[in-house]
Amino acid sequence: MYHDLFERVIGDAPPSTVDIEALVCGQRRAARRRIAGTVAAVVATTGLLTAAALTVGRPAPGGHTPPLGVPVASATAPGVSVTPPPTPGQTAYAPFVGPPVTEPSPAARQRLEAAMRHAVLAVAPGAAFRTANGGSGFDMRHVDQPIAGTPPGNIPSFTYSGTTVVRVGIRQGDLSILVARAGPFREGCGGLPGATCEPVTGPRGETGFLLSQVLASDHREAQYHLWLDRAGVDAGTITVDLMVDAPAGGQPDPPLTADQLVHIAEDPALTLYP
Amino acid sequence: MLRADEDEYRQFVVARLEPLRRMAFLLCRNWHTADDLVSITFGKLYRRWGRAREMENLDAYVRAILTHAWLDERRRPWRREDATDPVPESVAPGGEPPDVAMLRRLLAAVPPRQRAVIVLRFYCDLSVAQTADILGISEGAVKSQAARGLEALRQATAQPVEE
Repeated sequence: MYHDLFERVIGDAPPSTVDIEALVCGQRRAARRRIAGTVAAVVATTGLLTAAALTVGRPAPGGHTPPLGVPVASATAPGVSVTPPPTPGQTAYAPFVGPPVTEPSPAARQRLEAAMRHAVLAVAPGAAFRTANGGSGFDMRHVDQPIAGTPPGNIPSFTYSGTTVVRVGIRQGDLSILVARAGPFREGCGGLPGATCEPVTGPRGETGFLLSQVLASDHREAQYHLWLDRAGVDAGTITVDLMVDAPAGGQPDPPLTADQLVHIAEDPALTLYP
Repeated sequence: MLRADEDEYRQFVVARLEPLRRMAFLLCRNWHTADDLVSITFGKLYRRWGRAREMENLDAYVRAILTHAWLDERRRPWRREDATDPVPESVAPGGEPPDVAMLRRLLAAVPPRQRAVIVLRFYCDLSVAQTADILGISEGAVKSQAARGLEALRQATAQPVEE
């Protein structure tokens, strides 16, 4: 009954600023981040549990080392199952590697943000960056979660991470680079159904693998993970993560190639020990 | 979300964009905020589309998301505004028709939840039960909060009205 009166109060509406396509793309990206976060948490938790099992199974000084593959029963309560020691070819996940980081956090954020931009521009000179706040670099985040006092369920970690939308020409994707004071989250390509996994070896002895995975059943979203263990170089692990949307009717066309991702991860400036 | 579901979602939100913008404008009286509220609403709907699309009354569900998005926004300190102006006894002279000016002043004067009741009841033509369901309040509360708005609407239109 009063609808017309309300309509006259509203009057002529200005053109809408709601961009449906941008909204859909943003929601897709958010969904992918949730999936990626879950995958990373599962992978890291698996590694931590492996490390815990190895620590439990480590012999006292002067003791003998049990052969690989033999369950260590003496350190566990009856009825408690223990993750078996790693098979040959695997290494233990170490929560922290290398010496403590002494660089103050604000300085490290600034230095690593610049290093991330330079690492990308070194392999893709025309690359442009856009942060969530409209900036032209990386959004930086620092996590310093020591083992002591770690809340139950959380994984101790020391990381600097940067995220941005990187555009190279007409192609763009969500890029995140993580520099962690930690051992490899996992080693080898096993146990990742539906993903393409290739081992990577860097010029200074870095080892890792590149994981490519199509996330959506309609093949319009793809994710590229690169884990690179630099423990033999300067301690720590580099993770480069690129998520890409496909244009309407097309396939994902990432702005950076696999080789470029590897070169970014190998950049010596991406270190916790400048 | 599968492409077919996403296309279905896209069709739905494109069709509802303008009606929801107008409803949002009545709530917040600002087109920029109205567009923000509609974006928030569509974002939440995207995340829940799998379940939402099966709902019997999807429009009511979307209106509920929009209303709560606005009430949530109003709770943020930088959005908070004081609604202390009294309802005018008479309409100030101006270029605007008296009934329009009266309703505009009424919407500006009432607190957020009462404004939501007025918009849902008298603009969206929802029943007392539907309005109560969306706002999570009792039907009695809807009736009492709508009473003042109804009286003002009666004055504005100067015609007898049955509730």
